[in-house]
Amino acid sequence: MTIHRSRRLGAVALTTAVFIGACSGSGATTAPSVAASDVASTGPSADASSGPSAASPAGSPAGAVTYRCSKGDGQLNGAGSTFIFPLLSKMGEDYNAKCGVKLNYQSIGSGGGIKQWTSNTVDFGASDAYLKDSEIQAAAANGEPVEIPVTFGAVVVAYNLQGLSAPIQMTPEIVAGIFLGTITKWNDPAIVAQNAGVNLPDTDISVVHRSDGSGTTSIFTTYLTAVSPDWVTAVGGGDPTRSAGKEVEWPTGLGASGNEGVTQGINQTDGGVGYVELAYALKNNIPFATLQNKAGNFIVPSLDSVKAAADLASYPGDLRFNLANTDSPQGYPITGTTWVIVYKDLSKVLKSQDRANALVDFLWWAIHDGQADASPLFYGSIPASLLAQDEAAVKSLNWAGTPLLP
Amino acid sequence: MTTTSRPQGIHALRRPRGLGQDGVFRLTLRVVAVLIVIPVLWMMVDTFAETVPVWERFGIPGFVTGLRWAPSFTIYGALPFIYGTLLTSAIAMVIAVPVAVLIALLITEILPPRARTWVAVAVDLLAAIPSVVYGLWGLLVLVPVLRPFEQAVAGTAGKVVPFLAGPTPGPSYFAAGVVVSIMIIPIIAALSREVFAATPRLQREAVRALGGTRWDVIRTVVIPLGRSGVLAAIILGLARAIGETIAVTMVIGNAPKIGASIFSPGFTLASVIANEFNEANQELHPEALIALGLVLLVISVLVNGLAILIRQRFARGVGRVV
Repeated sequence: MTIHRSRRLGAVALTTAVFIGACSGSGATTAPSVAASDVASTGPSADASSGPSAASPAGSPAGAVTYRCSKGDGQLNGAGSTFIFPLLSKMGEDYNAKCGVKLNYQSIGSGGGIKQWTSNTVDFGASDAYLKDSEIQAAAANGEPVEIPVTFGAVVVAYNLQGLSAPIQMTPEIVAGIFLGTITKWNDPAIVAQNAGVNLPDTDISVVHRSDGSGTTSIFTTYLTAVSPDWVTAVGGGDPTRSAGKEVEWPTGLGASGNEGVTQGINQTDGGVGYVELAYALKNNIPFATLQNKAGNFIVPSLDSVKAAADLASYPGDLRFNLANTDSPQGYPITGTTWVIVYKDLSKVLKSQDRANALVDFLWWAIHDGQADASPLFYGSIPASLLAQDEAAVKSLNWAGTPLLP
Repeated sequence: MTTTSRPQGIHALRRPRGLGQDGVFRLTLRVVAVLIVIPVLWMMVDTFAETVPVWERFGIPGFVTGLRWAPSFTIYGALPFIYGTLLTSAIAMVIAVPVAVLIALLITEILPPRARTWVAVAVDLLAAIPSVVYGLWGLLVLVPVLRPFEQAVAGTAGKVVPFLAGPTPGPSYFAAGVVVSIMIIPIIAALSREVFAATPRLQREAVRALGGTRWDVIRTVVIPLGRSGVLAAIILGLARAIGETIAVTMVIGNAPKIGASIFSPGFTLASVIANEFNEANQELHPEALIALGLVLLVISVLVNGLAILIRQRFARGVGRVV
């Protein structure tokens, strides 16, 4: 019969599928588990890539930081945020080349990463939101958490309008109005008022949002919650904890999975608008809006304005902070943070002190030389004002009370 | 699917002696039969146990008929997804069944033998393509292609019938139904082809000898004799349509509410689970998604049971089991 034939053809089709999948861009919704360092020999080494332009934090001149390179078991395991996956892959590759420690990171989503970290099946978790009090309590049996901000990302309002002469400028009220469904035409007076000289067409606005639970949605809705009381009323029923999060009850629009799904949705409709990660928009040349921040300045989303948003006068001691609608005058207002989450006393959770040393040494490298990997991949690096507190956080890690770093 | 007339006299040659080979064989079959049922029951019991908090909070009728799905408010209603699953499957079947049966007839009855092979290979190939490829193709190619057709229907019939009204954002129940129909056409066509090809040569020739045309052969012999086999093929296609996940989620628009029109965005049971389970960390959210899985399981059992009943009725009418 045809069974043998179908099977062979099936294999061909499957290969094609994998190929197409691989080409469909980053930010996949699936959960790849990759030993990032497997490809270390083909990539440039850390030393080669950190040139003079490297985002080496200003507070610690290159050369001042030395690395112990503890081997431990030769590998470290982490899980969580899909957003940070490309950066951690590159960091893992470079750190393996430098110190010979492999990093296995499962990008299963921040929620999954926190669960795995809580159940102590990974050495660290990575999350696009700091731990909720309930999550800290759930992990209390293993000890106190330390949350270390390692990178920053932004979410942009991307759109598809043919023949515009300049990027559209938006105020917080416009962004909220579009995603609430109260502003429905591109030539709405509110948009026209902010965009003198731009020939805005009489096109319907067609909103696309994420359908999968996502840190991108969390950053975006946290911003809307911070700037728009109407948003809190309409989406959260007046409760800001319900109007911000990885999934909210959208008043309007289509749902699409992943940054690539949202982008596809925007591109297919003249007048489409949605929100995607800055890194994704930059890599794929998607037009996005310039946003007015809290200080009243219109800010173009960029790595510089993201870094500016993260550059605060002071940070809370536990490093749980929120950059939505930042006070920073040159900061882009829809900025989010990704934290690496570890236990403070690693003696309760890790098999050996060697492994704890390997983890601490990797984190120390990640907040210093590892930051050079951020800019080329369109991630915001740690600002100088934050570095001292990040260093203190890593130095607070201990083995039954004995500090792991000198 | 093919019939094999049982060779006469095999029982005369080999009578079961005590617990000989036949006994062992029979016992093995029984064990296997039980093993097939165990996972299904286990899955049902286990998913029900997992979802007890959901049933306690909303009640079974409350959950199944609930219209609002809002994890951020801990409100979970399954009806928009049940509606989406049934509607997309119905659209898919309405398109796929006639096309697939016609393709099967074309291959077995009309085409010359050489072309027959090539078309059959093409159909088998379509059946082997993974659903994610159909989803990508649906999203990138089919949705834009369908748009003018949708707008035309919404602009004419849609003015009268709300079920066909605009707006037409692209991703919709209709788009999902079309993509799924393309996925199940090869399944139904390939199986129907085998059924039609098994029509006894004598009966065909009898009709031709009486002066019947090719159409007479199809009408009086091929279709009546193959009816029950084709229904079995349709059941398999329907099962895939109900459970299809990835391709549907890419083209249905993922809106957790009941759209008034077939051109509205919607959601299905399988696709909402795939979309939301990874990051489900709201209160009762994972449990509610598992409960949707249970609803999907029950719907599959009901629809398949119904289809099997219909098939048996047809088979009785012809007096022949395929």
